[in-house]
Amino acid sequence: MILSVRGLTKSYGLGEAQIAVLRGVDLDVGEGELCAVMGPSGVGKSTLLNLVAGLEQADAGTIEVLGTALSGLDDQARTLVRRDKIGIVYQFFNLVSNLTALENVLLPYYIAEVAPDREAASRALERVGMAKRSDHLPAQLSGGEMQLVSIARALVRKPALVLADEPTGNVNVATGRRILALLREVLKETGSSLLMVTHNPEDAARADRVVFMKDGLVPEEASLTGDTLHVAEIHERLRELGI
Amino acid sequence: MTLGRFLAPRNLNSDRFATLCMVLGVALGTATVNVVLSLDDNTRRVEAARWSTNPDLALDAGATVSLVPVGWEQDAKGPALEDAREETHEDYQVMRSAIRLGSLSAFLVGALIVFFSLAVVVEHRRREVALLRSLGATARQTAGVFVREAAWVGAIGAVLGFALAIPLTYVAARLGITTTGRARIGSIVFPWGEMLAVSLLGGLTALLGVVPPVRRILKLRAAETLRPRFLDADQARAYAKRTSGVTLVALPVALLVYGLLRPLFREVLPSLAFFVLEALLVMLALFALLLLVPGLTRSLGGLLAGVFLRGPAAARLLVTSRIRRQGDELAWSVGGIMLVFSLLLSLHISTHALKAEVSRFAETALRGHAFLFSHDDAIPAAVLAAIPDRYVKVAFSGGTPLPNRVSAVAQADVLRFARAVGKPELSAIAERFDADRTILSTLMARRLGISTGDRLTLSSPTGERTLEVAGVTDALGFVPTFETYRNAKTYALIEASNYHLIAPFAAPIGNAVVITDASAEARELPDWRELIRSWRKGSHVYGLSGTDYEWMRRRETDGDFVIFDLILLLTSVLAAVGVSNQLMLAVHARRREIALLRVLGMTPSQIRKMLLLEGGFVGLLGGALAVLLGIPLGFASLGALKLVSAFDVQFELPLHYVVLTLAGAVSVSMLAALYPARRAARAQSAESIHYE
Repeated sequence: MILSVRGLTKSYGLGEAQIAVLRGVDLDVGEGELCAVMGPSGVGKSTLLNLVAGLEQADAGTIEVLGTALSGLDDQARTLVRRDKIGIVYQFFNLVSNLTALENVLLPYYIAEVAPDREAASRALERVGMAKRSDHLPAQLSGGEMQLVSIARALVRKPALVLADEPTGNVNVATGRRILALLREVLKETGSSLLMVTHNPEDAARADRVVFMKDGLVPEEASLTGDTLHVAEIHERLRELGI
Repeated sequence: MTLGRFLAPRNLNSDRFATLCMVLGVALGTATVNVVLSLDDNTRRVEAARWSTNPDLALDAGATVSLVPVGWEQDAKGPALEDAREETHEDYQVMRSAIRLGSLSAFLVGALIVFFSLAVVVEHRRREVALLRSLGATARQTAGVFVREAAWVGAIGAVLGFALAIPLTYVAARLGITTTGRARIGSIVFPWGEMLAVSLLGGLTALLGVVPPVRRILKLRAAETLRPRFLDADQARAYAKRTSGVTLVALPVALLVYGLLRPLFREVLPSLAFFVLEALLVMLALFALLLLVPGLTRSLGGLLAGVFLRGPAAARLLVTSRIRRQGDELAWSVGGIMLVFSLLLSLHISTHALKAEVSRFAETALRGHAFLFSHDDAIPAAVLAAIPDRYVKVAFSGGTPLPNRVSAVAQADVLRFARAVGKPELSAIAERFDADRTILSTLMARRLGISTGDRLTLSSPTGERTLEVAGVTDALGFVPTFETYRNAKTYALIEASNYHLIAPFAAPIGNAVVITDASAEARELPDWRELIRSWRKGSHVYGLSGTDYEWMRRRETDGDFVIFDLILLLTSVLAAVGVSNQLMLAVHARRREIALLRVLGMTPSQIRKMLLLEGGFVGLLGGALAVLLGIPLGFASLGALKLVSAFDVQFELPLHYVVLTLAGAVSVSMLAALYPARRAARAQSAESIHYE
């Protein structure tokens, strides 16, 4: 199992009141599995992603990434797990503005303080169709192109797990489709697993499994699995769950 | 409640660090000027009784002898007297002007902090402004918010600057820091009116600083601004100041025009006015250079970064890229550091040159000699008898009062002294010296505009005599006095048989004795200190070695310039505030980028190192530019010194000054980066990454 989440809870303080966002989430993502998470706004999808990424700490429950339990690790140790085992793609493109596309893709090597593999970075850019733009700064790229670069960066060190938070949320429909198709292809090639938060049923349909979050939980019985998921099926399940 | 009154305090509170830096910018800038004004006023008050520091004090032409070169057609006593007055007061006034103008460096750096902070803070609020406009706020209302913020910053800074100047002046006066470096200020009288005016001006900089960003921001299109944005850097670039081709061409052209007209100005203007003009032009050139800094930061900075930056690979890559591509955002800090450290370097080049001049003079006129003085008319014979016979003793009369200091000495004594020193050219002058001839010091010859072979008329109530100049040298006849350095070195010698000419004004021969060792090659008389101690036992006689006098003069030179160190210390603090502020604002503007780096696996320690590296680099580049600017500035200062003071100062750049400038600039910047680096390392990445 690449990712194993058990009984995960997380609350946020709002003045004196505590708002429980996650109330005991259980979730597994297998090797090479593409898992989409859907749910209404505010249900805790992004919080789940942050916890898995080690950016926040859970109140209770366990998270294991490739057998390493994040709970109990300090910020430094969680950072090292994230650095070595996880790749992340966000809705907003999050490229470093003063680095070129190639430098952005090389950045994970520099951060890990290992010799930068320029060939791998160039290959990653080529794989997402951005080889010709490798010397361009983010300001010179379109939104979709920036997202492709951030996918290349997330995958360049072949992480076991990729986390994606609405990766098509800020691009037009056609670009979104292209990005998702490419993401799926590349992940299948590298064998990385994906945990993707999305509002878009069409994106979710490209996953191997779709889980739905409701009231801070991930009811296992509500998930959809299959080689070919249909958008209509997902719409139907969302309706059933009242999402 | 108006919108401004509602929002301004909240905005100032939410940008606490920038607010604090702006207030400090105004406060320290105005405090520095106020301290200098107070010290100068009080120095003048203390020194009002001294002719050398009070131009209003009349010089009594009848209180000393007259020296008039033969051929002068002017009134017999007037010109030399007026020349002496002019050159003495020029030294003092030039120093005062330089100190007053120097204090502007702090004011300038403070104003830069305010202008930069307001530009960035207002720019950061583009979307907030767009939102206000979309909610129906008028342009006037929106501008009112920022103007009110600036007014608060200006007012608090001005009050603090006014108040802070009071204890700082007391501390400086207690430490003996004055405009002349020698006056001792007891009770302090503050120039309240001037201080109030300076503080008001300081406050006004904040109001002026808010005008350009507010004008810019009011032109924004709300709908466009409210669209999602993906790159903070796009916004950040909006305030980047870029140099235009016009600026680049204007500077050398202006320099050329001035270079061509300079001889004319020198001819037409009095020395002080000329010095002030040049100083103002240097200030203007510094302003102009600040406009070039963004470009230099990108180009020269990129180059230096590639060579010098060390540290974690990611931090190196990120800092180098930032410098090469967004270097203009660092330019304000680099410019501030450059300004402060170039002034410091040029100041120390000047003091070094002046001290070297003292040493050169000491080599000629002081080292190896000792001096004995009497408080009464003449040194008792018993004291002189106690001096070992192997020493050559030359008895001088007392000197006539300033500005025409003349002493009498026997030709035979001068000759023995010259021979003891072992320099044939001095012996030649001494041999020529007789009752019809005089020996002039270099500065006296320069003041009178005559040289060897020329003639001058010495007149006094007891007679008049025309004397030929036997030689011009500082190596014969110098007797230390505790007048200003220039006046101490401006003297004439006449033969003992002419003593009657100066007798009404000068103590008799034997009032001062110069002693040297005819046999020794040592630079210091071997048992000199023991002799001085024995002379001090007699209450009317005191002794001084040449080396001690040189040391005193070198220390005085340091004292003369210590007020500049105070000014530049305060300016350095301001520069550190500026760097810290710039880095904090950059951390704020780049919070998503920093969050992203954390997401990608950078540890807090790596983030901290990256910011420290950036701070250190600002210092390195600012320091490198300070060296490049400080050297010509120091050269120009020495040119001005030569021009107005007639000292033979020579340009010399000790290597350790360059190293210290770089080390100081880097240290100040890195210290300033500590807090922003800590804040950046502690930033919550999870939230920042999701929201733009």
